[in-house]
Amino acid sequence: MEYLIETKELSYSYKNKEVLNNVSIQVPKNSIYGFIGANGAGKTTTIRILLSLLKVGEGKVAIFGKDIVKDRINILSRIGALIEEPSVYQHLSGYDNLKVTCRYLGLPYSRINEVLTITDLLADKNRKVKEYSLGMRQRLSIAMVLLNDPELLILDEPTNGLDPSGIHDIRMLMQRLCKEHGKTIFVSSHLLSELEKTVTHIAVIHNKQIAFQGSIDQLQHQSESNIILRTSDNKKTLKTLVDLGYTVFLTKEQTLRISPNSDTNASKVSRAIIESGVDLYQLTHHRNNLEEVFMEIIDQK
Amino acid sequence: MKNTLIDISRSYRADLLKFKNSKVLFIALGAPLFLVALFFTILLFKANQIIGNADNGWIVMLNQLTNTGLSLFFPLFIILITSQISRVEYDANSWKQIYTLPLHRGSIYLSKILMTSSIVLLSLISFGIFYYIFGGILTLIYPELFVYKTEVLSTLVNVLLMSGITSFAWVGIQFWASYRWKNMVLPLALGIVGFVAGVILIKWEHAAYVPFTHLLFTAKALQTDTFSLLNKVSYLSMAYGFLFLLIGYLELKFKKRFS
Repeated sequence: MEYLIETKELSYSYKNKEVLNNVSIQVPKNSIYGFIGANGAGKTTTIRILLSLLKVGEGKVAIFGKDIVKDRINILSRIGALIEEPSVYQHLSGYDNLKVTCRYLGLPYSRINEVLTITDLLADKNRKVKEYSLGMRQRLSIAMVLLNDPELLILDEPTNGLDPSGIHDIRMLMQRLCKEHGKTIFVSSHLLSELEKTVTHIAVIHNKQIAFQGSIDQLQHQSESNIILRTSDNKKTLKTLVDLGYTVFLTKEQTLRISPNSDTNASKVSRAIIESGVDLYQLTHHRNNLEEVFMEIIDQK
Repeated sequence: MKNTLIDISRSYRADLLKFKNSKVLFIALGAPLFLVALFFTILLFKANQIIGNADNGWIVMLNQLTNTGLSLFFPLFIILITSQISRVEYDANSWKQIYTLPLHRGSIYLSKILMTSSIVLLSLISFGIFYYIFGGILTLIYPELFVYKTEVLSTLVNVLLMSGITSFAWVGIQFWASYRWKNMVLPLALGIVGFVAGVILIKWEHAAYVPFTHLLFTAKALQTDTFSLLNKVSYLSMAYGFLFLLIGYLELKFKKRFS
């Protein structure tokens, strides 16, 4: 597999305080790679090192197979980066903001309408940015990073502060960029729920270290599937099922949780409950959502 | 080298566009207009008393503009303009974004210096143009007091060149301060303290070594018969200017965190 970003045992300290500890990540080509972690876990520091805004402490950073320290300008010419909140000139129009970036990169203005179309801002291009909503500014920032048609996008918390509609727009935009334009996207967030429907790969950073890295399916399989029961007599049901050898938990919601989940188990459990004379109101299969898995991973660490 | 020059040119063109709809051009053109218009108004109503027996109203007007206007007003103008050049990036939170562009960081820095110098130059040239426009109007109103002679142009050129050279120390110091400090108050405070120190120290025998006094020497130099553009103050001003710009560059080069 070809990796566009590869860090090896990356460590970084600031003012004698450890910020990153042996962070090794591998971002496959054409993936949407979610970089998840709580505030202060080390996400932004990692991104700043990837973009050469911070000097590499210990370890190695290779992007497109090249060393970021030795080949900074060449690497950055193939990357579009957005770091935290939008960096836009509010007294200028959206179109003029893009012209500024075109001038920096020596690009023709002909590309501007194209990126405005991709980010759905074409109709607002002549409005001053101070009249834009936060979501529009964020999309304008993404339009700016798309100008030079980069192979890799590095987006640091692009959904931060956005309303649900703005978050949805950014998600859709990322999916389009990956599927239709072949971009590889490295995106960070402190909320897994914002990204779980979008990303193909994920890394969880916790306490300055990588707690999990893999595809979204691999993360899903980290969680155990359960059977959730709602009955007319939980106490009696609990005893019946324990006697049958199941491990049963009474949840806060006054339901019973049994694992592992399987069709055979579901069938055995429902028969036993009914035979014990208890009414079975609900039997559902439940798998932890990614947010719960994320919390489990963090708790384990 | 070629790539660096291309980067400087690109950054400069990008910086130029950032001043669209901003106050920078308004200040750069409005400040000299205000200054010359102010002295024009005074001369319009008090021409006879002010010019008196002096042989040329044009020179009297230029002397007044230089003594009171340029010497005192120009430092404040430089403080304001240099703060605006870096302010536009701090306000847009765009420094970190600029430093992730595939450009040499030194080119970005040099482009900002060029932009600051260009605005100072634009302001000085517009000062000269406004001086000619308002002087021309006064010539029409008081033809006997305002007699245009060729020496007017050479004196004006000397004033502008001398102001440009002696402002270099101010530009270097203020640019360095506004580039490194996000807090706008610090460079403004430095500039105002420097301005007051310059006015107080101008009569000191070693005043030439205080960069904040240099612009005040412009008027002084024009009053001497042996005026030379390249004098001790000019050299010191250029040296101070380059020194602070170099300090700023070295700070950028060895910076470990860009935020």
